[in-house]
Amino acid sequence: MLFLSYLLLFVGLFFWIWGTFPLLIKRDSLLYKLHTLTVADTVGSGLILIALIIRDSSHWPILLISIITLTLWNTVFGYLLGNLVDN
Amino acid sequence: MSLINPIRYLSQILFRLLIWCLLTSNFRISNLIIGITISVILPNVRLPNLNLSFMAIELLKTIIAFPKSIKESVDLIFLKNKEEVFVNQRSSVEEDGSQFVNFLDLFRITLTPLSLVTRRKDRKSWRVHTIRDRK
Repeated sequence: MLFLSYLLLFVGLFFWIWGTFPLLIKRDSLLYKLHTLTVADTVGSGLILIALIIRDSSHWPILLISIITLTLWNTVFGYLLGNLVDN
Repeated sequence: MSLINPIRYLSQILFRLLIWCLLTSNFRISNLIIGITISVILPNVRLPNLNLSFMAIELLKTIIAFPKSIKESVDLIFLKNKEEVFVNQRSSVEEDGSQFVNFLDLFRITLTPLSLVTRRKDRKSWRVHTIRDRK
């Protein structure tokens, strides 16, 4: 179980770094950066939080609600910024 | 009050109680009683044009989108020649259909890393920004 937790943690960290790096590259379009930030913030953070649930299962309610709110806000703000860019 | 569908009312109360229990992370009887009281006191949500069985299918599709987003992340990382295009994707309901199902549809498309809804194209479709492999 600890191995699975470590695996999810490192995959999540890799997604974080890979997804945030394009923010520094000027030639990438804003919409492309939004796509990579989805990888970092929604999927990466979700995997890290699942790893934390496996590791410390006594705090599962608060970690579950953080997963739900993170995905909800990231997605809504992703749509909002995409809408503004497209207009 | 009598016009409200009992199943819809019950599911609304249960949903609020679930969020209350997760937030307080406390499943004792006293806390449950406070949660039920608050769920009943809060005003009813009005969701017009909502078909419950249709909504259940949409909710199920949204839950499937979570593992799909992990797969699409890996796809995006290993894409070699990236090309950004706008496509039109059919929405599951029309613009004046249920607001909640419209939101779920938008949420499902935007959640996955390869596609991002930017706005409504017309009454029946979304304008979606996607990344694909250049041929």
